Amino acid sequence: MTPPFLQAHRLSKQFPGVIAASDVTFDIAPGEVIGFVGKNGAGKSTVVRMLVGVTRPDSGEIRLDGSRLTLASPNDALALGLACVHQELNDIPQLSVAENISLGIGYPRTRGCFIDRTKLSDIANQALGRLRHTDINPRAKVGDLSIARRRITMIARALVRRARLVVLDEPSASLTDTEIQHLHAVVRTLKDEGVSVIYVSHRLQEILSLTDRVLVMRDGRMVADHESRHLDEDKLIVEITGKTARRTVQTEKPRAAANGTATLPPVLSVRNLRRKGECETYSFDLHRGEVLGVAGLAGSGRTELARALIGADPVDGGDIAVSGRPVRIRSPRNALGQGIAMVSEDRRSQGCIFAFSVLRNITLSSLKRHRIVGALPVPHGRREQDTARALIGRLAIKTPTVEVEVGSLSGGNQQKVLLARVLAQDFSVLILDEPTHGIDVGAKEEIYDLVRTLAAHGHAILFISSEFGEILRVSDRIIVLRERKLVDTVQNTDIDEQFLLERCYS
Amino acid sequence: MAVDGSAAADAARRRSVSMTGSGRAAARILRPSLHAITRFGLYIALLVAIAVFGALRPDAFLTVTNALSILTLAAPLMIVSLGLTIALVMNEIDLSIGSMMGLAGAFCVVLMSHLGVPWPLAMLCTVLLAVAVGITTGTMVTHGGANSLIISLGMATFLTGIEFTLTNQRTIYTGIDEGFIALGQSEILGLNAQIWIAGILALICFLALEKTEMGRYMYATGSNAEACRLAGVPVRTLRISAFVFSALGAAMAGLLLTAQSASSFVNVGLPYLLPAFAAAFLGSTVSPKGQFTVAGTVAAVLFIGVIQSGLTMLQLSTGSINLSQGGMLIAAVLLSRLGQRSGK
Repeated sequence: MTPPFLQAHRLSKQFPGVIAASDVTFDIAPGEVIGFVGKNGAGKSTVVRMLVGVTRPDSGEIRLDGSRLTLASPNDALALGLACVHQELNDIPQLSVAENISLGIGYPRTRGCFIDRTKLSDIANQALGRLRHTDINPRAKVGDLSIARRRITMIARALVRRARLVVLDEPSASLTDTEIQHLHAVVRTLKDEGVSVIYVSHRLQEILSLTDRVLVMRDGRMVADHESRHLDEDKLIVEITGKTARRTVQTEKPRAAANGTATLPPVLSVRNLRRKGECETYSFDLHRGEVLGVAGLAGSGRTELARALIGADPVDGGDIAVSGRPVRIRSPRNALGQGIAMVSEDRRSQGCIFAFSVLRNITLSSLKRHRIVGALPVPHGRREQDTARALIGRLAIKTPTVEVEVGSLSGGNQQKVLLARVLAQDFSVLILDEPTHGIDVGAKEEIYDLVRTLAAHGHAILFISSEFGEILRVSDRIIVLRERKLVDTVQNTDIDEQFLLERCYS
Repeated sequence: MAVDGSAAADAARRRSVSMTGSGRAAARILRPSLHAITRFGLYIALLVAIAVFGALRPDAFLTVTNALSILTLAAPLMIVSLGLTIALVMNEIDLSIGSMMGLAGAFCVVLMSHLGVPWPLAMLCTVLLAVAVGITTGTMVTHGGANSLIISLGMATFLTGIEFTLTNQRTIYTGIDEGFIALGQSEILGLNAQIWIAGILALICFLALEKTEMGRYMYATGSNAEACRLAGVPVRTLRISAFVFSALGAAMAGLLLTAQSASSFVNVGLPYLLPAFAAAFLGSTVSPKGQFTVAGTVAAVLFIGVIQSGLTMLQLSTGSINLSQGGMLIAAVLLSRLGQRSGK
């Protein structure tokens, strides 16, 4: 094996109230693909940021080819061949693929003045060719491309900068299966060319199949460094969570809704709900104490269903009844008035109020319940704090105080804050759209438990997810969406992922 | 190694738990002092301005009379800036406030002078007009999905058009009720009525933004409107109200200016448009996150008032007044930005 070219030695970084990374040591050999796993908030991002010059370590050092580096900025790191493709794409959507790829190294020019478009496209074609993605047109506008292609464009940018290490931060998030296959092929190409890759992901299967080595972080420390072929998923989960595996999909079937509920009117009854181009005549019932899973492939209309139900998008027709009473829902505010709450899949742009503290994010929807006196619309600070503290405890939200900005929390904890916002108010129906998207194994488990607990207390839950495993894990019944049609309603007994997959495709 | 890691984390957690009691108390003392440093910019600038003018013109500038005159002159700017601040909190820009000031004054005077409407009723009608204007602009912005910058710019021209039609661009100084004039000229407990009105409105705006549900929703909407909508916040109503508040502030300011001069003259509000924006943005440097706040706006209006009064006393040329006024504005903003960066 080739000797390592990059070494991180005892890197530490502390933020106010949090030790983000402590004594992290590892090395990377040329052409090595390294999986980087850990819960949200375990310190993965901090380590990555220190490697690519975004954050400066408090102590410890990074050595490249044996010599010590001081990285003052991402540009310094790039110049030395350390590149990072961030999860939230930092490309420039208005520019073309070729313009993005050569950004920062100076565009080729004709007569020393005008941009040489031909040469610019050649550079892009060459880089994309190395990644075997000649299907991407260098002249296309990046903003018009799919997320997958935008990621590959960013990897091409790293190649043009002669990257020796490319960090891919959650590269498979919001990609379809085929796109993930393409992405993996790109990673293998990089490896063949001798470029090292750090692959940060919560999807353990791809980590195991793609990487040579896996580094596990927990509570800011590097707790394990394994060769991937000696690992399996259960073992990884133990190391990520620090607890023994409890991941027993299938065996732990939820109880069916309690007897007698069938005679009550359903808490939510939907008939022929439709919205042009997004939903075609959805009809289903949701009962008290029931978890109804919504399965479907990307683009099958899952999120559209959620948004139509709460009146976030206007519908073209259909009837909704809440506990037998017909209602018209024109806005999310109406929906809440009827006891229907939703947590959106996009917590950054549709969930968190980043100007606000954790406390104020939690009480946003329930201010009316926290008034000084009933008629006076003035929130009672103490009472708000009590609610927030209770929910932080109940959901095990990791936050130094209730007053810190919500943006300083990890993704999983932000998600829990949004769940807390819903739990702070009265609701009978809860719509969860991808509630475990981009969060770690431990937090996922907690969310499954919460969903079952809420159902046991009589709430009705619509559980939307792209992961069939977790749908089977929490649901009593499952509806299957295919190409914006509701094609099937099944009891969650004796069915498996294979069955759901088949229903989604055929 | 794994055992070490979790043990250390446990210890850290225990430490953080035991720290919360005394730690919170310490934070309560430390944080305000840190914020105080980052928030100094505007206040330092205000003190420096007072010191400099005081040193240059001690017998004219450092007098009670001058202080009261600064406050009186600043009152209309304060009121229009307060309304604008509420709109800016929600990320809405209202460029029609200058024209609304002019229209409000003219409308009220025309009602009194040409139609003989009693002054309290005329003022009430003016307030209702402002509400109508605000709802119109707000509805066009929220339901039409248009950009508030350009809609309110069009609205500004439109409102000035109404004003000119009402007055034929003539100054009106007959038939204005004494009771109305008293609003701008009389004194209560030694202070001009305008100071009282501006002060009370500032207090109301402060309470509304900082203490009520509405204020909380307004800041939330300014930060992430779509998230608020999904969380059941009445975002549309709030956004419309943004324009109602800015129009109301402008109308009040316009009425006071008209009362003070006991006449309605053409386009009284236009010179207030840019200072109102300057005040709100200057005031936003006071808050650590750059948020628009009532306290910040009030401080900024006083700063602008002091500078205007001081520079006038120095009898500088108009050119040098502009130079120094602009320079000090920029200096104050930069100073507070530097403070914020070092505070991080």
